[in-house]
Amino acid sequence: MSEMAQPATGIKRPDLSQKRIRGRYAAERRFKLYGQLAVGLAIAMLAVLLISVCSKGYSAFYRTEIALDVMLDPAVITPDGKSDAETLGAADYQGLIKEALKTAFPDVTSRGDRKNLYNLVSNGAGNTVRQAVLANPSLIGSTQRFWVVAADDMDMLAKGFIKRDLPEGERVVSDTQIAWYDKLDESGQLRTAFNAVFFSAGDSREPEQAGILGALMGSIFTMLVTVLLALPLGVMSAIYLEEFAPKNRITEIIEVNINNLAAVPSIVFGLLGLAVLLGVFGLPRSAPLVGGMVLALMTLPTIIIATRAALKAVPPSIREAAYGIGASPLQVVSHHVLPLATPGIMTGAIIGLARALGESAPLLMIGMVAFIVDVPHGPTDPATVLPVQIYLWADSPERAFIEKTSAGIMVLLAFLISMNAIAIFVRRKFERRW
Amino acid sequence: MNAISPTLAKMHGRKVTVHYGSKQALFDVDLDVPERMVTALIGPSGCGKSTFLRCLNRMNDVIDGCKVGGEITLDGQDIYDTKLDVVMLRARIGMVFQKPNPFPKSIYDNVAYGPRIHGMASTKGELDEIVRASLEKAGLWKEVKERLDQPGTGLSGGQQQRLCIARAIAVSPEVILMDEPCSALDPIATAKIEELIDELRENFTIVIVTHSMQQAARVSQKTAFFHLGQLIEWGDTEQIFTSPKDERTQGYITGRFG
Amino acid sequence: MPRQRGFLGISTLLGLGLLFANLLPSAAAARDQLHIVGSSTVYPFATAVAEHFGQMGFKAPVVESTGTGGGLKLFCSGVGEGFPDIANASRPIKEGEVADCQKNGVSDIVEVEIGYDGIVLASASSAPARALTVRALYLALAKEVPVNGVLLANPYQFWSEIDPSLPAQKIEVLGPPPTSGTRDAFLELVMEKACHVFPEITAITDDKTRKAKCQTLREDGAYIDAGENDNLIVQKLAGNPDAFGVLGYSFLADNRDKLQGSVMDGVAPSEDNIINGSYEVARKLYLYVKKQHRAIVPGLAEFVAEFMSEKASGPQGYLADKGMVPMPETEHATVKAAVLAALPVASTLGAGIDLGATSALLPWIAAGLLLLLSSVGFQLGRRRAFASVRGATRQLHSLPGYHGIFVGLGAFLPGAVALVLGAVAAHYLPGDSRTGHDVIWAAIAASTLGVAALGLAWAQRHVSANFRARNAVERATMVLLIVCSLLSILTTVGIVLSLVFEAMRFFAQVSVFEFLFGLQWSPQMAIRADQVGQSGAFGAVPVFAGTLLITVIAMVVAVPVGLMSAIYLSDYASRATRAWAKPLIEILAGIPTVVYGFFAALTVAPLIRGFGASIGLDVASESALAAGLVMGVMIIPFISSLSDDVMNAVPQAMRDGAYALGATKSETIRQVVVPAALPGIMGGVLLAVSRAIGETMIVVMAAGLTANLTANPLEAVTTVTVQIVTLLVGDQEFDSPKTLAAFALGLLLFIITLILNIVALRIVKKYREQYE
Repeated sequence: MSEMAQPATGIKRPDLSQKRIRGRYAAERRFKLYGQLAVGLAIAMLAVLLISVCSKGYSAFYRTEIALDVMLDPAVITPDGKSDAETLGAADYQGLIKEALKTAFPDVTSRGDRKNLYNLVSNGAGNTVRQAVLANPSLIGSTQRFWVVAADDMDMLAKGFIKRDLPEGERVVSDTQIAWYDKLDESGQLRTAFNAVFFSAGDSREPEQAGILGALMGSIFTMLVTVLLALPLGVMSAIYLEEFAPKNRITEIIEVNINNLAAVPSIVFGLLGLAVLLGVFGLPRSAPLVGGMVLALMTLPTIIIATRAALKAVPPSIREAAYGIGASPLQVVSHHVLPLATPGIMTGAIIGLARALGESAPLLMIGMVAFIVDVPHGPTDPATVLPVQIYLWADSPERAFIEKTSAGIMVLLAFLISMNAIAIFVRRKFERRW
Repeated sequence: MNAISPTLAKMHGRKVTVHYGSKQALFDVDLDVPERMVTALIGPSGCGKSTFLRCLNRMNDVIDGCKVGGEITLDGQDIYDTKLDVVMLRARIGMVFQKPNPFPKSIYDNVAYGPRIHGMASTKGELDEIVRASLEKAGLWKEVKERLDQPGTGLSGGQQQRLCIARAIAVSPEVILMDEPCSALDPIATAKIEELIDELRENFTIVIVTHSMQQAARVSQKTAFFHLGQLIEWGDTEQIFTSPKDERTQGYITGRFG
Repeated sequence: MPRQRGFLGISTLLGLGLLFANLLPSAAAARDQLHIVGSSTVYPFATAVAEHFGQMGFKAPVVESTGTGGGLKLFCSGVGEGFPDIANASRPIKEGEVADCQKNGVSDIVEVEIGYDGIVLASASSAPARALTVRALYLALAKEVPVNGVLLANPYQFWSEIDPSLPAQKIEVLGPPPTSGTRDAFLELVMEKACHVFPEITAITDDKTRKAKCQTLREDGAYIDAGENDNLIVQKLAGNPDAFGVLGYSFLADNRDKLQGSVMDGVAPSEDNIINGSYEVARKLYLYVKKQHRAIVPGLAEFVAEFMSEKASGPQGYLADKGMVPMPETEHATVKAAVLAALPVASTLGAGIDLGATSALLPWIAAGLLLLLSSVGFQLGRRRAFASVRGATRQLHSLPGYHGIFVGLGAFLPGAVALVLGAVAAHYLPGDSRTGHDVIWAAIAASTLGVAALGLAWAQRHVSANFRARNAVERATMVLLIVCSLLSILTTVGIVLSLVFEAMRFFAQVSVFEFLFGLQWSPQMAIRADQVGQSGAFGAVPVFAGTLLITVIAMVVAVPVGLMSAIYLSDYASRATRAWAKPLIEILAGIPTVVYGFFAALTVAPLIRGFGASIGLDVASESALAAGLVMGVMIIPFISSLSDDVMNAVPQAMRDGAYALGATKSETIRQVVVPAALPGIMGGVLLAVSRAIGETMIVVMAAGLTANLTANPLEAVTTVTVQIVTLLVGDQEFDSPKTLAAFALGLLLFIITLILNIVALRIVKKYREQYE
């Protein structure tokens, strides 16, 4: 090229000020930086939250166990000589554990010290022995070594949450207990193991026996009721409003009303449940059925709005094509529009349900804040849900519930994140660009 | 093929290639844009004419995964130079789009937007003058002078397109690119725009993409025919329409395919 | 075949409807597990016994923490399976409550003393040990104190002003809110006791006035209502060495490394001292047992026996490990004997009204048969349609499948209506015996099937070549769709009604004007005859101002961060960045608000407080700033995804137009994209505002309970939702304006969000009209 004499950055407009252009580029960089900062800040907050939860909660997934040589005394297990499962199941195994502790520490004699000694192991420790005996009754009469669950205070000591250097009066474990603990530790009678109980038990007042399964099942039943109610009702009303409803005052009111319901504080739905479901219909307190109904009412507007958006996104040309070959309005919707809108509906529904899953305020009003040991087996059994369980644990005095609280949060978050991941997957997989 | 000497041309394209991801959309296009003339780019849908047009002011930068190769120069400057200031480039090469796209602002603000961001007016009076002049040049002044503060989106389609032309003119670019500016308009509005293009030729270098061969014949002095991403033939409009050298050009302008 | 699918879809939906119709009556059916409600103080002990009881071969009872008053209210509301069997109480039952019980037929109540709970004044173990006296506490916390012979508004700001031997620290006591039983006990045991040594007080002759003067706590911030969650108080104390907290003894016992209990009048709070009575700030805990329920729920007497057994509430029992202060041995033995006499365990294992297997199954059998009959109808209809044209389907107006669905519906709809009506009727019919239930349900099942068969026959007669079955089915479907869309209206009506009735009762006692414009909120009106009323002001302005303050803080965080992230992710970030960053940010919206609440109360608030202290600012433990910031983080994804959507909806042509003029990216966004999307963004922000206003759990845990009218984000404020929760979850009385106020607040909250939404919709609509 012949005119390369001009400087390399030569695209210039002599009539425009260079200084101004530099200013504009600086503004551009600043603006981009603000954007990066904002995204960074949001993700940093997420990280801080997750890290603070996980760092407090991960220790709940393992527990401390103590090895004890338990004499399976036939006089205790089969007092009247019968060895049917019922007798074997009802025996006082905790007593055998206590005997084993006494044998291990023969020098403990005073009543108070004995009590302290028994407090080394969980009062659910007998269950380990019971299961072993039930599985193999021939063990009766022999002395076996069992790894039994340590009491929560010992667990806390093992995990370092109880500081040994504090004066005795300021800790929950006494100096003698620490001495016993150290002795057990030296003789290899302590170990840490995966805390399977946390995933297989319902709530308990003993932190080492408390599990998340009851609340998890409660959440699942509640969500099931919510899905079964909210999804069909929500999708059908969205179809009506978007595809068939005449545009008049009434539908306008319905529309405003639905948008409004989406923003009504969740606690107000709790008040509704209290007044109508419990008050008027006399439904039982603490049941996932009622919780699910309240949450369904809460989720309904979200699903309606998402479904309408998804229906709206199906281009009119599809509808026209179907009408053009003589399909009835209902056929157009059910054969063409609805299948095309399904991914959008699913995404919206999952997001609405995820919100319902984490919701606790309305459930406070309808008695789902309760201590329930049994894992529920159906939507009418009394149950609590994950966020409420977390709330309850957080309010328990025992120190060991702090890690349980965080671990519960981790389970809930895992549940939520996997729901979100499914939503994203659905969105990616079926995303259509018109 | 190099019919015009480089000094006369405003812009040169040499071996221009464009890839969208793995798909190649333009193959080694060599095209010169002569100054103060209307160059029409014609060809069947998907032939790459719009892609080439968008290369001329680097609008392809906006599209994800679009890679441009070869060389395009403006007054001898490589416009794909990494050090080049795209903003300045676009201040010199304006563009009008297929569908009128006025900003959701008032008519006045639409036209004043460019001069404002480039700081072309220091007083309100100067800005008013630029807006008035641009609207006059775009032949819209008489129709809108009473309602400059109303939204540009309230105008008719043809008026909106002329507003967009006025908006482009207001920055006083040297080149105006037009991407099928009349395809969304009725014949009367089209006629007005064509008239306008003819007038603008005095002051601006214009490149227009069009589907209408009549339009190309009416408004342009140079015509380039694209087919399947390649530049098939390029020359004076009269010559292309009366005695095309390539049989594909012949076929297209006589309506045998396209 | 799409017609088959259509039939399947419809029958699934209808089946679902039946499922719920059936679940409802069975949910209210026999209960084989005890239901216990009441005091949050007794809750940890009752749950421990419940768990042990569950291991004894009974089903573990369900224990709800409702507060003493709320529990007794539920307990007293009736006899039967729908009502609790036992109420836990941290105070004796009141005469009014007994009367309420009597009125509802709960005539036979057994009171069981279970042990003691010490109330301690705790502070962080990092603070110097401070011995207190009840006198000093009274002078520090009473609203009016005697100064030189007259009662004056409490002038003391520092402990040292009361007693030079106390440190020169600001008076700051975190304690339970007025709805708590612990608070009642504290007033009784500390304030009431201490004030009687002052001649200025004893000079007051009117009992009520004197009591009011003694028991009214100051409301200027020295006493901070800290919510019912004692663990949060523990954490807050640990982070604030200057403050004292009023706590149950069990929380002190379990947090000895973090807290120390203050010596009171020379006596340290310890188990021994509480048992032997030398530590006087202690109260008794009770169970109230509905004796009439022995016949209704199995295990009632056995549960109480377990509770009173030596190994549970005895001096060495497991409840002592849980922090309950047990009764001395002799006292325990006496109480135990009395209780066992009143509630003999013996033979009467409550049989309950066990719905016979038939009754439990009949609804399901009826529903199953109905579905079966409907599908038979479907087949019959189809066949008949085929037959009517001898297989030449082209002559039919509608496809045979539609005739099938028509006949199926003809059977199903009347049957379902009969079944649902029957279920409702059965619920209200007095069915005391097993056979009674069986008869009722057999009748219901029979009539259901009869009606369904009639419907089938009727529909079947209609099937013919010219019958417009498709239109009929479509009309039915349309009706179904309309009914569904009306459900949202019904919900709103339900919400409004459930709020309005209670709110009306509230406004009958408190004027609307005072509620809307009053500047003082202190819902401490006496809710029982013996409780001393505090001022009882119901001006909602400070509550709403607090909500507004926290919302504004949240928006200050969320709007810029959310908007900028949306802009960055939609216009700047590469596709790959967007793919991972966007879902990550959206997780923020999915995190349960309970989690945010803990984060705000335990992490953010102490940080802000510490930072404030380091630069010499006095920051409240429950500052609006902490709650607002965390709420802002929660709202970020709302704003970002809503604005992302609207900005993406701005056509690319608009951006191209700006780029073509030589605008930079940021100029294009700021001057073209954002203004074009502004109404949508505004709508999104308004929705986020209503989300923030209605957010409950974050503020319940992190915001205060004291209604300060302030714009200072470093002070504690309260919000509408916090007040609703506290008023309804604590000690309550459903005729008192105090409890009813919750509904009035709820109503006002609903109206405000309604207005916000209508405004938001209007803005969006106007924008659409203008630019579309």
